[in-house]
Amino acid sequence: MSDQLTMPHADELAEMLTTVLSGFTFPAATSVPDPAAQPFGARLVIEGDAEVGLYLEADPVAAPALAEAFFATGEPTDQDKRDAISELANVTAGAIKTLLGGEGEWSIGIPEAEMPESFDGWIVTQAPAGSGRIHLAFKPV
Amino acid sequence: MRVMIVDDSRAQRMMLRRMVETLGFETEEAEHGQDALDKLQADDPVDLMLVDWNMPVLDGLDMLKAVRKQGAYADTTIMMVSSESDPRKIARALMCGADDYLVKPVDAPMIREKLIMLGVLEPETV
Repeated sequence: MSDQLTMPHADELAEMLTTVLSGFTFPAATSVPDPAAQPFGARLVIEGDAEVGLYLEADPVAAPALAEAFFATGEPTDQDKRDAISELANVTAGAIKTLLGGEGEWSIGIPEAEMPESFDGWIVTQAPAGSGRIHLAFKPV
Repeated sequence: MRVMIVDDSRAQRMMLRRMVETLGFETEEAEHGQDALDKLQADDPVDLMLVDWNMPVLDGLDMLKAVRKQGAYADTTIMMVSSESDPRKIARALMCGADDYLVKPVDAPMIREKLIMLGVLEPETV
């Protein structure tokens, strides 16, 4: 790990998210998602030499697929979807920490089901998750 | 064989539970380190603990230290399963008594291989 604080670029974040998602087995989409279906997101902070923010959001197709990957249930509840995206945010934060460098240790906060009020200054990217997509927003120092 | 899964994430507990149940383990779950300590005192002994690091109330490292202070659990295999991938943190967990460390995400073959290496599972039985 570098002693110098570094902030990842969008392509590095997308690659990291893709790598994390490759560790999950997503079910094939079997039906068109409900038009009223909502995305599910989770936010956390990573603290160390500085504080950075991370927000992950699963679109209406990815959210049930991600929940099924964790819970192995054909009909995941909204709570299953919230819990699944929260854990994915936790795992992704662990991977992103390796890109940050710095002299000290980075700690990962507890994920919260909360969208940031604004994405001004955030780096936004995405990666495929089964037939859906996971959006990643990263707030650098 | 009994395993206790200690993680504040219901999703991760569920995923790990499925993995180890296919390997023949009975499972018990704890939502944080203090919950795990309470259940260790109250319930039947466990052969294996899979422990997250970042948890509310009592984190995985402090739980690990507390368990290792108690001689009654000297034979319990403890594997950290965490998104914390900093080599310094991994080293600290191992120095505090973890038998092994896996960085999330983990899959069933990874868990199986580690448990065979640790002698918790016999290769020919799984």
